[in-house]
Amino acid sequence: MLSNLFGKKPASYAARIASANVELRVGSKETLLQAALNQGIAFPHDCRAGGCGACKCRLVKGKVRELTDKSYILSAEELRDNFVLACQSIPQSDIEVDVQLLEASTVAQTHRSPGRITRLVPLTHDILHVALTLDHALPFTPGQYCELSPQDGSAAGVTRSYSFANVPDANGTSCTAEFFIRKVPDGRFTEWLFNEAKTGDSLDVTAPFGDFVLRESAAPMLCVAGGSGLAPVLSMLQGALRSLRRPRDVTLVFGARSQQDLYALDAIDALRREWPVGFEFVPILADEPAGSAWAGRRGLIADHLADALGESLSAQHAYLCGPPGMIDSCISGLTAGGVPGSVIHFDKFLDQSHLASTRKVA
Amino acid sequence: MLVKLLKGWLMPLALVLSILAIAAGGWWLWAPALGLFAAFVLGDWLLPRDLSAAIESDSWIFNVPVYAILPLLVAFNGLLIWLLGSGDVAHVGEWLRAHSGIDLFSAREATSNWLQWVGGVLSAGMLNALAGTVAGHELTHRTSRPFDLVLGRWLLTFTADTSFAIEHVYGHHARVATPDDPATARRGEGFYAFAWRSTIHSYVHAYQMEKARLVKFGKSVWNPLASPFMRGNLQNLVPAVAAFALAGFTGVAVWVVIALLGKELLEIQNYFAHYGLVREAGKPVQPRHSWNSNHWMSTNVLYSLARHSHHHAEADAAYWTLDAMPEAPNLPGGYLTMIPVALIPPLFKHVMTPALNEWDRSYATPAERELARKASLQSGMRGLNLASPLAT
Repeated sequence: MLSNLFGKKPASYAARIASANVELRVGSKETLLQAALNQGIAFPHDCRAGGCGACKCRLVKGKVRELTDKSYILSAEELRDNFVLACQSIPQSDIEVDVQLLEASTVAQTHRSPGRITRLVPLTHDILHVALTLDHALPFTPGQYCELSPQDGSAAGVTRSYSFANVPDANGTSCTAEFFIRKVPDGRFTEWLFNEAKTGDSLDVTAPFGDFVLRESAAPMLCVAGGSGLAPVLSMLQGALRSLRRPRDVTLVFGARSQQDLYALDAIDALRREWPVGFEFVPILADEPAGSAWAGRRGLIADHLADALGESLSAQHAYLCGPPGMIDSCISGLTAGGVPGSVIHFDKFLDQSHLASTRKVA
Repeated sequence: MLVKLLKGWLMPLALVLSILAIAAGGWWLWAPALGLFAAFVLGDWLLPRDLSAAIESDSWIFNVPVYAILPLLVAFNGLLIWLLGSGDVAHVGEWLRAHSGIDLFSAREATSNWLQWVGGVLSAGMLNALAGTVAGHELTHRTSRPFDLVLGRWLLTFTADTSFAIEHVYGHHARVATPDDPATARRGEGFYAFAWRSTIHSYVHAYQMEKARLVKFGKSVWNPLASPFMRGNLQNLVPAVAAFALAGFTGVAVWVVIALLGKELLEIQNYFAHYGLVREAGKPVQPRHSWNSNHWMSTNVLYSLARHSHHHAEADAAYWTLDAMPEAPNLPGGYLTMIPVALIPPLFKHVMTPALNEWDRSYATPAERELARKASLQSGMRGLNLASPLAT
């Protein structure tokens, strides 16, 4: 009532980061750092509690409300020059700040290592669980992918991109790499992998690539995986179990054709049991024979989102991984349900038949 | 939501019952200390663990019980010191006798044995620590709310510890689980050694931080108008002055004992909350850097202080928004049960050794395992497995 009387405060303000030519929206109860990280902007930060000063930036224009006393942390010069701590600053107007952003993970340096196949096990009739042991540990963040190049056989010299299905060690690297790889009809790489490859075979691995990574937030997460798109999603969730500062409710939607195409159900169940707060698993089958014993959902994932999530749909931050049709229909469904595009993150799987210029195959 | 709200009133309820006990005088002075101790130890032991979900709300209604602590503590301590004196400042005793059934004069007469006073001092020390510093801690974290900050600092005067509001928020939370933090106990450090180190170094560090901050503005740390540190020192004198008005120099002497007792009870909580934990300086504070407890009494009477893992990972979160985090490293007993355990160093080491081994094995990163290994070597404790950074 009073807010009507005195003019309602806007729900968000614009924040401009001049040096990077980036503009973002910051909600009225959000700190500048939260908003930037939620929107995938590589804002420098560390403790997120106003104790370390890593997120300091110069407030060039506008006003912020500060949650802690920054003068314990910042120097006299910084105080005079109107520096603020992004993790403790809630904009009260449109603002402009001056800060040097970190390099985004997409342009981070990649590393290469030879690897050998240690595991080739079918998960379904057309998806293989492949594990490699690497000569050198490679860095990656759960959700990212690498490039695989077989060294011998019919696919020698071919390069394909696959998402990691495992999680790195606590220091962010791993000496093993695991993948869920679906057979592409007449695909050179998968024909080799499914028919010729055996344990001990060599591949070159280059990593990391991609910005499909978990963004820090307290919002509930909707993860949608289609087929072999489960790999980066599982990796992300298993990584989050170890490192999330604040547990978030998760809904994991897994789309497959029929019951026999579902896999990794034990791993999902283990995640669900260990997850400290709500974890809902929603398998959806597209081509399950009518009249089968399947009591779960059937049809297209996008058609089930509103029903499966109910009123919480608009509050979700979404992570989608799978084939292009699934991603596009889910984005439409989420946008219609009130989820802002800035919190929908996705990784589209394309194979060589989609476009000559695309790298990503599964 | 209603249940969570009612849990917030457990502490004010304990205070009201304690006030009634003090007003009865005599051996009743022991009742708050013994009653609280029994309720906490038995409650933590017998009641189920509280894993209830956090409440996502910013309603003011959860603040009311926290705000109620200050007037209740004033009443409790005021009554106790009144009994110690011989006059009737502002005719409080007469007024109470006329307008309620409470007869402080006969309570004063019934309290003649020095052993009764031992109980009274213990009761006051415990309540000032459990109600005063816990509510004060909750409020001094709300650095963006001036009213809460002021109230929080006054709550800390009951343990003569207003510098806590500076050192805890800007020092301890930034440096927790590193060797620089006076309020993180080291492996092998007994409580009595820790209490000295933490009490003195925390105070000195608060002074240093405030001095360094005010230099930036060209102001003196001794200027109470500019310096919350100096203002706090003066605030700490106010209860002592009140004690003098109520009971003269005897009142002041007893007050000093009560305040220091409360302060050292707080140090016990500091002692076990991060005992032996290590973190790489500069790396974010994670839930694994605190000892958590989901015992029912400790969680609910202490305004979720026992949900310490989430508290340190997100320091500005209000008590009702904290998660239980059963997957975080958990203490072998409830927070309130660990208080007497910490007072017996061999027993404390006995119960914490397996907990530290488990922490090194399951929670530490490879870099932390290396730090843990060094800490274990320096600790002189037997029974600690030396963590290998390569172990998985």
